[in-house]
Amino acid sequence: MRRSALRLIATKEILDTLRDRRTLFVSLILPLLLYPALLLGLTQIIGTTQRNLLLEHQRVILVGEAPEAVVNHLRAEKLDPVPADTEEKGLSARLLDELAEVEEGEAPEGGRARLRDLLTGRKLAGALVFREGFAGLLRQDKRAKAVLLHDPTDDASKAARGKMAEALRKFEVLCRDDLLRRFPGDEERLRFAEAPVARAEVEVASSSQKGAHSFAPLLGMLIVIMALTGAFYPAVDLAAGEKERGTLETLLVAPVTRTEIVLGKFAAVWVIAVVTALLNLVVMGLTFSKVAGMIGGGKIAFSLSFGAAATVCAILVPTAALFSAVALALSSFATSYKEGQHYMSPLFLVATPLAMVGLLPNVEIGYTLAVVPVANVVLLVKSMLLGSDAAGPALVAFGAMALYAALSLGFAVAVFRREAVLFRTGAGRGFDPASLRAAREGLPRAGPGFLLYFASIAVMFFLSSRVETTGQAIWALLKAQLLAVLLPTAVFALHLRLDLRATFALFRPRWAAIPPVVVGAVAALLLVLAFQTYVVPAPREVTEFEQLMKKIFELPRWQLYLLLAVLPPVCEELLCRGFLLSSFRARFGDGLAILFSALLFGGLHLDVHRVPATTLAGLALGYIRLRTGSIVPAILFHMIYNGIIATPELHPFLDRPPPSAIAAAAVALLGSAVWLRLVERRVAPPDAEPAAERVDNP
Amino acid sequence: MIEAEGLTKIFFDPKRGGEFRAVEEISFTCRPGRIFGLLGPNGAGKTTTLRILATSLVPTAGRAAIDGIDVVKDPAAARARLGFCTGATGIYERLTPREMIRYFGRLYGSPEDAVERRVEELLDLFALRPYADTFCGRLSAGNRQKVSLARTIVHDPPVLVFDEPTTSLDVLVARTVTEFVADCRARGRTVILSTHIMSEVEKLCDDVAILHRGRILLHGPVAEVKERAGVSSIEDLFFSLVREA
Repeated sequence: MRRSALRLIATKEILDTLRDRRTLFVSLILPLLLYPALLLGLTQIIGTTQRNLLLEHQRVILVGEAPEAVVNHLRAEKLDPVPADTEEKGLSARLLDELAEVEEGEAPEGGRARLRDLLTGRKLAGALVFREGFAGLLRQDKRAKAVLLHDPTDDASKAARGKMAEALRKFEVLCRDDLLRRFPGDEERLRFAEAPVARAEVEVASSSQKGAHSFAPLLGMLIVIMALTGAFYPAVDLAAGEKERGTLETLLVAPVTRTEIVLGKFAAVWVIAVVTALLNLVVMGLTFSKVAGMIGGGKIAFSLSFGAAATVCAILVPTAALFSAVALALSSFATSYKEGQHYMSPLFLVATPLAMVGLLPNVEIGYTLAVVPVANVVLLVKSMLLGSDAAGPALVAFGAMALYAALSLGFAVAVFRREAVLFRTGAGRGFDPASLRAAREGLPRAGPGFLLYFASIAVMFFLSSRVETTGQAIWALLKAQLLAVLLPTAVFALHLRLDLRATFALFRPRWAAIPPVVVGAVAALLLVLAFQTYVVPAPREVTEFEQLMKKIFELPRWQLYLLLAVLPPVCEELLCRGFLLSSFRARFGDGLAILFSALLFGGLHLDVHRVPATTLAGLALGYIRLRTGSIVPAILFHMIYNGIIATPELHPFLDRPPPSAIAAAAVALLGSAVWLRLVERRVAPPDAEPAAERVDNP
Repeated sequence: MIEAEGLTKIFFDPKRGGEFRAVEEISFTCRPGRIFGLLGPNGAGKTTTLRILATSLVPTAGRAAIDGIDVVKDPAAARARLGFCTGATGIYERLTPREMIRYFGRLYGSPEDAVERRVEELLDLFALRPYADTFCGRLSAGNRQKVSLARTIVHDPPVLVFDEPTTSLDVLVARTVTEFVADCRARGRTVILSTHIMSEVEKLCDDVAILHRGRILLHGPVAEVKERAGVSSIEDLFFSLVREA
């Protein structure tokens, strides 16, 4: 690969795009003009409200003995202080109780919510609590404690908080001046005079109420959308548009490699996407600080630490790279600009919900979510804006995004090297819904495979319900396996008139293949559990899956095994190692077919936290199915795997497998793979006779 | 010089019932200073053959060489000796003719000053100087085609491949193209040209191969094949062959 060719192509593509008024306008100019106007209007409304709040009086209550000076300062700050017990008898006692719960109790979140109710129910914007002997301590030159209660989700309370803090500060200045006047040059007293009041603040909203209120998640989403649109239009133009205009072929006959062409185009799209998003960010930031400065009179600030701003900009780089590569690959399939736009809809469909994860209250970046593409970006931006510390997950998020970008770029290069993709011509030769029905030689094609999978997921999702009793748990499992997995698989197979035996690999396995599969199943389970315990720990809260399992374990043993160790292995294997694997083989080859069927198997459980573990198991299952040419060993593997999980006696051992057992399992798994390889020497081609028949007719 | 030996290309196309043999076992040779015509109806395999020569498609079987360079083993070197132009190849509408020619000159790896000299030369050759700095998108159809031809020979290739170069062009523009093709022969280049227009073969070509359903039915010098078959025109020859096949 020559760097000069790459740079030449990239430079030309950037120039070409900059001269394309349509692309330039939609992806760059329009957002630049639109966002400031939108934000200006929005922030002006917010700003006016804020300013009014600063001018208006808010009622706050005082708990404990309030020094006269503080009360006067509160009044000067446009607050109406009311002693708590004047407002309502016993209010101060109740407030102090809840405050103690928040500060020392076991359920601070509940205490916060109740404190909030106490205040908002009486139209109070905040409270100032003077601890026992406040004035007396100050008189003895000892530090006195005051607690400031405010509601960060309420604008009036936010204004009141600022005013209360200001009043306390002025009171402190007063104390200090008094001290310095009385004891000039007294070192010890001078130190005390720096902060005579120990001020604490308590937010009376639970963290979920707070998160939902913040602007932070929105910014992350905007960044993702800007990077996506920034990549979208140039990518469609440079791949599909170039095909349509007949210029791609001239590039292909020039002495540059296809990899150089893709990388050059990718670099151009990437640069444009990053610049678009950065410009948008800058304009947004400027608008914000301008508006905030104009109306807040310095009391409202929109500021971002340099580190946080740099992180936000930096995460844009791999994000834009990912979108650029995916968009380029997708639009390469299209023969025209218009068709290219059709192919982009799925990208938006996938990216938008992921970008909205940041809007969910209470969701913060952790190691698990840091590997979820797009969602990790949004959550990282959110945590940066909220000033929370998440250096570890942030690094993981960067690494994960860079990895996804590299993989997508590899995919784009692979797509571009395919003759069938590059020389696809004319209308109707691209994606055709009819192709989803196509079957070849009794085996399903990849299109119906994907369609079946998503149909199955959809059915499962709509059938899912809350599990509270054991009966409901049984019903939930039966519904999921029979109606969502087995039924759609059967309907698809019959409708497409598939060769059922070949598609589902319904052949008798060789006996010799059974022992390695059994050993492998036990070893794989141990490794997966170790992976779950040490590498990707499941979240601490009880998931719906665990809720369901708890109920299921109350059943008699035979029913338990039937529901966990027989039904799911049969149904899920028929779908994943039967239909899906068969449908992917002709299109993607054996390796990728195993990988895709494993990933989809991982996703089948509708539980993000279980995806890595189930995907790993899926890889082993796919390998077994192809190696043995039969689905039976895969079902057996799955049964043993689930059977062990369904045996409560083994749980203490399984929950924390000792390192020696993990090491032994790793060796055993490797050994059983080699064993299986020795027993089954060849992998049956997609439509060839299976191993069993080969043995019957030597 | 172009040599093709037993070229076969099989596509997988479910809509045509699985495997589809676009060209099968075709062999021919095109010599310098002569124009070789590949004549056939739509779908005969002309474009596939020329794309294999241009290294855009990899043959399923057989070999092809441009000036002795194998197109599969060293595609970049083969491409460097080859100019490729079709009726459908476009130009970058948002570049000017000067930028367009310069871009391709650089892609072919010529030194910077040589590229600049060549750009000026070609602008004069095709009388494009008045429009040199106008976006290609604003040029007339004739001038656009001239830019396309200038792009084709920016690296002064000894071998030229034209795939139905006059299709979808109006008569005046088509004339520019056929004159250019004839000029290439005069300069001693090897030219291969595919077409379904009989008169073009008659007027331009020295040698002809008639391609039908992926196979070459007949080939040789134009005058000779006509004489052998005892027909007065290529058109008669073509229809008699296709009827037999």
